[in-house]
Formats: sequence, structure tokens, C-alpha cells
Amino acid sequence: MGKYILHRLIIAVPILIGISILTFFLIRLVPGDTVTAILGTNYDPKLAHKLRSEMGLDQPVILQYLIWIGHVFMGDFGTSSFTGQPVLSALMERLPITLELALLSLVVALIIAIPLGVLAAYKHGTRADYASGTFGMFGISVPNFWLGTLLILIFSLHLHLLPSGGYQPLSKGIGENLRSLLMPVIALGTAVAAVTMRSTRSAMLDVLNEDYIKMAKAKGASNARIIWKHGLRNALVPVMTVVGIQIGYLLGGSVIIEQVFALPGMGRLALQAISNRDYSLLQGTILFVAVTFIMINLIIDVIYGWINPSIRYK
Amino acid sequence: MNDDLLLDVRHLKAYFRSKQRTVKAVDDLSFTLKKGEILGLVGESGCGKSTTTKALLRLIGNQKKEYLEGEAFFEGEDLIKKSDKQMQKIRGNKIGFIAQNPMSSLNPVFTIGNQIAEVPQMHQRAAKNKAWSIALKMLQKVGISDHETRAKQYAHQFSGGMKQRAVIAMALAGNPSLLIADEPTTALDVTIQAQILDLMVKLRDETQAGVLLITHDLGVVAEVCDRVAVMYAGKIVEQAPVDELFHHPQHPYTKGLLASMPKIGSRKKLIPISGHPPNLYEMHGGCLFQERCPFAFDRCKNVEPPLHKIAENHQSACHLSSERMNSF
Repeated sequence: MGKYILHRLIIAVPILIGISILTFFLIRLVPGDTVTAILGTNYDPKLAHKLRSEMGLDQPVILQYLIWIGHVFMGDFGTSSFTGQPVLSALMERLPITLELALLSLVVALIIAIPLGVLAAYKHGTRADYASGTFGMFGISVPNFWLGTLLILIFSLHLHLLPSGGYQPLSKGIGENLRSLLMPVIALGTAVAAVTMRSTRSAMLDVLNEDYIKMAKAKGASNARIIWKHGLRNALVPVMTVVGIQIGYLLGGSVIIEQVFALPGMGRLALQAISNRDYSLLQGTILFVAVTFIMINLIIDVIYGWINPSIRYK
Repeated sequence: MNDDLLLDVRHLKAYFRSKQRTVKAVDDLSFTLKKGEILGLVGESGCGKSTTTKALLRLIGNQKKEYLEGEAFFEGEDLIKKSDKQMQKIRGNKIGFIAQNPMSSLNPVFTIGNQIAEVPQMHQRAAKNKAWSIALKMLQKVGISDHETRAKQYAHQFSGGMKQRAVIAMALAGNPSLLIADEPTTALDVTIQAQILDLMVKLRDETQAGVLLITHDLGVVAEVCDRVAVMYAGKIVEQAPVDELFHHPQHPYTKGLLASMPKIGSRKKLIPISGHPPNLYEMHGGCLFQERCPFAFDRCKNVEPPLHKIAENHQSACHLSSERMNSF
């Protein structure tokens, strides 16, 4: 297992380099650069030229990239050209917020979706099944920003139950912290719950037709035992794959949700960096998000191997 | 009642209903099984063999579209009248089930030992380590070498024959007095088949459990069974001790089955039974075999022949055999 994880981490390096190349060049394709963003309406060609040479932006793009990636390998992500703050410390401030939002959304979604999917499969063709199917359709079709706005309208503006935005760190108490994340988690997690619920349902339906389920019944196992012990663990195998894919959605969706709920996470940082053409900040942010994605998927793969013993990691 | 009698099935019916039609998969089936006896239930695909086992275990009959009727006295108690909760205590405990397909009958995500140990855990409320030692003992009993290592392995690490041994170990773990084996060797290689059959006979000798062996393979029947019941279209058409049936088959269907079985050393061409089994939802009166029977005559069209005693322990459902009896 240790060997497998090491192997995966080594494979991650070229992936990350590829991602860094893509972001590096794509952001430079966008009209305007850091200097035009800093100077704004006070644009002066002479000053701009001076700033560009100070920042190294007058050098060939490939050279710029090599210098940047060389620094990254040594742990230096540079400084934000807009605020002057080191990129790494900016990222470290923001990363926990996004991670908490994404993981909390994932956990809540799974806790709701998996039992619901199992129930829908067990009671398939009944009202409970149709009700959860309707929830599934709703969750997949509703855009998260719309759901977020709706939640703010109802729970903040009308009922005054929850804050409309802003993040309360854990240091202010876990209750406050969760209160500030409750609506974002619902807005972000609903779609994940819907997709997971549907895949759990179909996986469970397949599993319940398997011979080993009939065998368990012939052994005298109760229905509860058949479903939760013999069925669920098998059904989770395909579900975990779907969950792995959903991680990407969660990290991408957090960009929008952080905007809707004014949460100072990685997503907002990335948006800021794009509109400011803050190259090193954006590159650092994307790289961090990519690392997060790869790490969470690695964790899921390890869980996958634990659920399904016929997968041997070598 | 006979003390040796283990299973007494009387007029068992299992129908599947849909909006348009009713499929009479098992229709008025009666047979008995003694302690320590191996009864072969033979017939071609779709004749209701597997449905019979499912009905006895009450794996069917719980849904609206499944209709179950008749009696099946097992150790004096009628299985058909039991609730699902009561059946849970019988399945795997007093009645062991050996499934048709060992390849897919083991749960891929639990160890073999875990799956066997589950049986005493459920039925005898055995503690974990006690159940585990029972599982080890069962694996040893079914001839799995290095059973302590094997118990910790998963189904995908087992070969086909070993999987079937594991399934048998699972069926035996509750120490059942009745074993129902649904085509236990069909999915296996011929060499492995013989081993599994030997094992079943050996286990029967040790435990004195009654065995209901479902198969379509007459070779298997000849090798292990004490008595045979031949099924056709949901009914038993002939029943006799195994030697009697092979040497003096009475029913034309049994004769047909025997004639279509290859014999070693014989150069004779095999004679197939012409035609197809009847649709189980469009049955008309009379003998169900009449359309394929070379000896069919007028009465076969109108009157369904009852299972008739033609000798001690030998019954046949054919007008011809009953007539021959009467003429004696």
C-alpha cells in the first residue's frame, strides 16, 4: 500500500507540471497583463515598461515559465504582484476555508445520499423510490448559485436565521463556524448528494440481484443484514468512483459558492487573481487546487481498495 | 408418521402470475425424503426444479405475483405456513442450501471465513472467535487444505472447485438436517464435479442429513443418488430408486432421457427427444408429454395420468404403465 501511494505521488508530478504549463500560458493569452491592471486608468507607457522589466514580464514567456517553475520546485511561489503578499501565505490562509467547505459538503452529501439511495433501491417502484428520484432530478438540475441565492433570501433576509455570508473561523467556536458554512454546504452539496444518491440506487439494484445476495438469504440473513452488510459494501465500489469525480465538481463549484456567500476561500482568491492578472497568485492557486484534487482522489482510491479487496495496489 | 421421514412435500404448487397469464412452474408436486437419503430431482431446463427449491426455502412466495400452495412438512412442521421471520431461523440453520453457481454465490468483499462464520453467528449467537473456529472446522471438513490461511482469503483467490467447497462449508455450518443442492456441479469441470459429488456423499454419511439434489445430469444421479424423481413441466412423472429407474424406466420421458444420454463404449447414435417442452402458461388438459411422446394415444389427450404406483417404491405418471399394471 505504501508503495502504491508513493507511486501515485510520483505520477502526480508530471500531471502538476502539465497543469502549471496550461495555466501559465492560458492566463497570458488573456488581453492585458499585471501592469495594465495595476496602472488601470493611470496607464503610462514609460512607467509600464519600467514595471514590466522589474517584474521580468519583458522576457520570453518560456523563460518566464522556467524561472517560475524553478522557484516553485524550491518552495518559492513568489509574491502577489498586486498586494505584495507572498503567494504561499495567501494560499495557506485561504486553503482551509475551501477545504472545509468542500469536505463538509462531501460528507453531508454522502450521509444523506447513500442511505437514501439504498432505500430507493430496496423500495424500488414505490413512492419512496419516486420521491428520492424527484429529489435526484431536482438536485442535478438546480444550479448551485441559484440555490445559494434562494437560501440567502429565505433564511437570511426573511427568517434571519443564518448569516447571509462571511466566514467564521473555528477559533470563534465550532457553532459559529458551522452556522457560517451551513447554507454554502447545502448549496454546494445538493448536486453531489443527488448524483451519489442516483448512483447508489442503481448500484444497489444491481447488487441485490446478485447470487451472493440470494445466498445470504438462503443462509438465513435478515433483510437488514442483507442490505447493510452484504449489499452496501458491494454497491459502494462503483459509488466511490462517482464520488471521486464529484471532488472536481466540489472544488470547481466552490469558486462560485464562495462568491455567493462571500467566503474568503481559494475560489475567490482565484477570481481575484484573474481579474487583477495577478499571474503568480493565480498560478499558485490553481496548482494548490490541483494538488488538493489529486490528494483527495488518492484518499478515495485507498478507501476503494479497502472496500473492494479484489483490487490489489502494487 | 415415519420417524425417518425428513421432508414430506404434498401437492406443492408455485405459480407466477402476471397481468396476462399464470406460469405454473411447479404444479402439484409431491415427494418425500428420508434422513440420510439423497433424492435426485431430475429434469430439463425450465421444468421447475429450481423453483421447487426456492419454494421449499420460501425464497419465493412473498410477493403478490408469486403464488404458493400446498404443504411441505419438514421435521413435522409445514414450511409453507411459516412467516418470513420463522423461515430466517430455518434457512442456513436446519436447511442448508448449496447454490447453482459457486462463482457468483460468494460475496466478493468479505473473506471466506467471515462468510462461513456468519452462519453460527446468526443462528447460534456464537461469539466471534467461536464462530471463526467453526468456520475453520467447516473448511477443513470440505477438504480445503491450509484452511487457516484460506479462511482469510477472498472469493477471487479461490478456484471454482474451492469456491463450491466453500459454499458447501457455508451450507454445513449450521449443522443442517436437510441439504438442498441446486445443480451443485453444473458450473464445474468434470474432474472437479466428481470430487464435489464424492464430498457430498461423504458428508451425508457423516452427518446423516437428507439431501435434495437438483440436477439435469443423469450421470450425477447415477453416481450419488439413492432415489430419483423425474420432473417434467412442473410435475413429477416418475419416481423410483436409482437402479430401478435406470434399468426399468417406465415413463416415456424417462426412457427418452436415458436414450439421449451417451454411454461409454457404445457406438449407438444418441436419440434426442423430439419437440420442445410445453409452454408453462398454455397448458391444456391431458398428459403434458403427449405432444412429444411416441406412444401417445387418445386417452393421453384428454385425461392427465396420475402418478401411479407400478411397483414397490416405483411410481410413474403414464397411462401405458398403469395399463400394463392393470393387465397383470
